[in-house]
Amino acid sequence: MKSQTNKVLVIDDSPEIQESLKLFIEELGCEVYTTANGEEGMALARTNAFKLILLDICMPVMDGKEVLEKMKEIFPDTPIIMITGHKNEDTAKKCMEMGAYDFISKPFDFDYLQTSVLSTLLCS
Amino acid sequence: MVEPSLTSDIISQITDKPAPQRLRIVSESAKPSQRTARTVLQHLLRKVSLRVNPDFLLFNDGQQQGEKGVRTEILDTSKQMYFRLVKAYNSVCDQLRQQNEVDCSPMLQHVERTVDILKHDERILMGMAQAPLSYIERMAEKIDYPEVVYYGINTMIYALQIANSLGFPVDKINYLGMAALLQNVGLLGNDATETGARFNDVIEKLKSSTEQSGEFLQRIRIEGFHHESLEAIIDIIKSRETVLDQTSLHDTLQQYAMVIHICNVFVYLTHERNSDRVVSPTDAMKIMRSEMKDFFHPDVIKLFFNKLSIYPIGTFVKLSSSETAKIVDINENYLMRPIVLVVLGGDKEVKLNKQRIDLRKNPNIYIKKSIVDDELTERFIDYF
Repeated sequence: MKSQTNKVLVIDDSPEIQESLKLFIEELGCEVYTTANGEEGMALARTNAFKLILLDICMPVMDGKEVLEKMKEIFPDTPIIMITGHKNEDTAKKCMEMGAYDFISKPFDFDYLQTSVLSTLLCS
Repeated sequence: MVEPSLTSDIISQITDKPAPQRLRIVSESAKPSQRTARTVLQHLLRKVSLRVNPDFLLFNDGQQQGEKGVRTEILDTSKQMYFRLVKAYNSVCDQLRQQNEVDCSPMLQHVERTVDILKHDERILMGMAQAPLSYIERMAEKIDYPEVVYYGINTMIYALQIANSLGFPVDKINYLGMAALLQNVGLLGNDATETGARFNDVIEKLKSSTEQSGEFLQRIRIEGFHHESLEAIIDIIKSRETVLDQTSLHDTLQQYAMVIHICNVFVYLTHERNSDRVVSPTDAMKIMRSEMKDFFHPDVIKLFFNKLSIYPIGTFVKLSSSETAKIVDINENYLMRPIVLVVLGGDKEVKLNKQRIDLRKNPNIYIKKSIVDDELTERFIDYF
């Protein structure tokens, strides 16, 4: 029984974060797309069936919450993990209320990140 | 019938009392020939127009209204049912090894009871399915064939939980329960052997009892039960090629077999086999994910983890706050963010205030790792 490769989208304006997440998630057997802004991310999501989206909260032009809101409208079943460098409790709660699947602060706990990513790949 | 003049007296007597005393006071106030304590209490409440849930007054052990604790009666019923099933199955195993015909109707009654309890409140039974073997043996009795009895019962609980949540037909669900309970019965013919921790070791062990399963299943008698269906389900479980057949997913027996098989593999991976190799549910998920994609239909894998979660109810975790907590409920579709009850502080101090944390509403706290600790599990077995 051959399974298709899972596609994952990383939206983060930091090239270092993009690269580290890309390498990490590729190790889990996924095909990873990266972009630095929300608008490009939306465009990519319309043309690819992503199994999971990792989305930075603090980005220029269109911030993560705005992207989350729009993504949830168009792709309600795609799990979105919010990532952030700031442990702002209100922001975190707001994102979860808006339907984010999970919320992960930097610096990443990679064990937790792995479990979170795998859980979406298994269960969504 | 309780005298009207006594109504207010009784209400004032029971208000500040713990549940067992309330029940006794109300029971003593009613004429023995007439109503149960519950009915008397409802009568009393109507008389004084108290808009309080009588269940709360009778059975609430000091928990605040609104908290989703487990009622005492469910706690006791679930545990006692589990222990009785252990004893019943132990007895059946002994008989199967010695007799050509064994009446297993009592076990079917336990399966039916399990279905009812899981529908009512699954948390205690799900927690019991995580309880260490040593605890079960101490509370019930020594289990001579743990892979048949202990694993069989826990596989049944998981499989029925999935079946209930999927709305499997009531008249069919007992077959799934019995098949889950009995699927390792072939191991009664083997001497106890260790199972390796690798996924393929588990699969090979489960297949190894195929021929002997049939021999023992032939000896089972259950009144009113369609025996051939039971054997058919167990045959399918043992047949690797059939489980892989995607086109047969619509077949009911196939569905049942797949649900049971995946539950059984999970039980094997996460239950005690020897002191060196203990796999947490999260690690089991990772193992199953990497090994299962060529073995199970992906929908079944998804179903299993969505229904039982990667942090099953009754398991323990370490939080990012350094506290230790017990998983007491699942936020469906948000598996990484269950509801937990803190049991130990960061300094390992026991926490008795039953602090519940919904990790979805408290996203700055997260689960650092699963903990497998028999002592912890046993100590907080009733903690919900």
